[in-house]
Amino acid sequence: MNSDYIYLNNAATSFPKPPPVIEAVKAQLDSIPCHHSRTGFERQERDVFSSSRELLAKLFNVDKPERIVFTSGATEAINLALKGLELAGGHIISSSIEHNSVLRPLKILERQGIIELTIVGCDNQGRINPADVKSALKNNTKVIILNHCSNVSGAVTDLEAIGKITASCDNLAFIVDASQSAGTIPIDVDRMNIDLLAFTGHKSLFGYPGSGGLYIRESLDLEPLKTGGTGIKSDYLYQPQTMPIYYEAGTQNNIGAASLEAGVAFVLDKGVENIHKHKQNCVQTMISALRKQANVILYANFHTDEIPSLFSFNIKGMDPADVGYILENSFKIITRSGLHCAPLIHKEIGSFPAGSVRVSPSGFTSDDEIDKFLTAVSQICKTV
Amino acid sequence: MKVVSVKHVEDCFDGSFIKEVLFAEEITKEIILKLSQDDVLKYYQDFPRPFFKIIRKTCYEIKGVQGNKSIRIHLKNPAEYCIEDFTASIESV
Repeated sequence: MNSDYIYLNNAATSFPKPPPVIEAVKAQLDSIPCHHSRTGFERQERDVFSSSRELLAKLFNVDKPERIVFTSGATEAINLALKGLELAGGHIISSSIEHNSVLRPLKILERQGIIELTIVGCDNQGRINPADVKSALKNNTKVIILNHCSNVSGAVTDLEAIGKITASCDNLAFIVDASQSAGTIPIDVDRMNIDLLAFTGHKSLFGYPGSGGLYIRESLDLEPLKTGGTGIKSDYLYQPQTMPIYYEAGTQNNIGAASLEAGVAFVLDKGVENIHKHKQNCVQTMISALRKQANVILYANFHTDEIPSLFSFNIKGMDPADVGYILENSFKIITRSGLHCAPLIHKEIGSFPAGSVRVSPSGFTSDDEIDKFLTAVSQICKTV
Repeated sequence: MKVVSVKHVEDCFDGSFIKEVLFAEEITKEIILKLSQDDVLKYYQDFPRPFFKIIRKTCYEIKGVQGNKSIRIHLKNPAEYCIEDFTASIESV
């Protein structure tokens, strides 16, 4: 591990990975390759796809693990969800806190004349009001797609409240982007009435980049994004509709699945609530101290019952790109600056066009690292 | 100073043009002062590793850290700058 740096950019990719994840990847690289539907007992092969799926199902309260399909990450999962549903002539509701992984597919579908799009706004901390979502509903609304946790302000969307709205509508799919929340904030697809849950592996699930997936509710009719080899029913010239391989054409990412299996096992062992609490404590300490700096602008929720697991800030008179650069190069602290691939929220919270400096701790972030970060920001504020 | 490599830097910014330049040797205070001769220099030497930013109005910004081997050049309006530069140079012919 490169211990020279303090890493506070876990909302991009988590680091470090727990030791069992690294061991699982090493073991996978050191094993005879196997296909998950052809594993036998004699060679003692480990079907990391099925075991990973089972753990993910436990994490999200999915009753049938095969309803979770693997993708290269949340972007592919969201594309599968949006392009697999029959949306022609339909109305879609989304929000201004979305990442480009949601905004771009939606804007392209809108430009192609396939959908009508409504973007619901947020408050100055990035929070969506469920009442605004409800009032945006139309007779032809086919999808509500929302971010569970903003990757800019850390604001958490009340999925239970939105789920109650979607449950009362016919033929409406509720899609959730859980990129920032999976592994940090409890998710229950049944209680939240989620139809499609997109998640990535490389953030709070501690998997490797290139891993992720989509939960698909059984009642949904969803076309696959890709078709091709599946390793089964090779004499059949169409895509076998067996789950989960209906959506998993092509060679699967066994390293990703192995890392996800170990990462999700780690999360379940530690407890999602405990990991969330640790991140909240880190953020609470940081925003409490930064609020005392006269020239720091915070983009975070200060209410004690809604402390986020990440936050953004700016220093008055400084380009966030410079602050991020100074933190990394002068103080060896890695944060992330810019628009964070979520351009619309910055217009609402007041950080457009330069963006903000985002700080995202992990379950491993220590008090000492937080102290060093706060000392660095304090020094930048005093000097500049 | 010998330039070893130049690479394009992508980030979640506004799409402007950023290049990172790697030199064969470390950047010293003397080099920073030379680089900024005709420009605005912001130089914060109290940081554990001194940060500098050189601003050439409307053209580009250079930033880096003393002791590093690389700098970052942010071309604010690369196309416009090139045309302006071309126009200025052609007029002097």
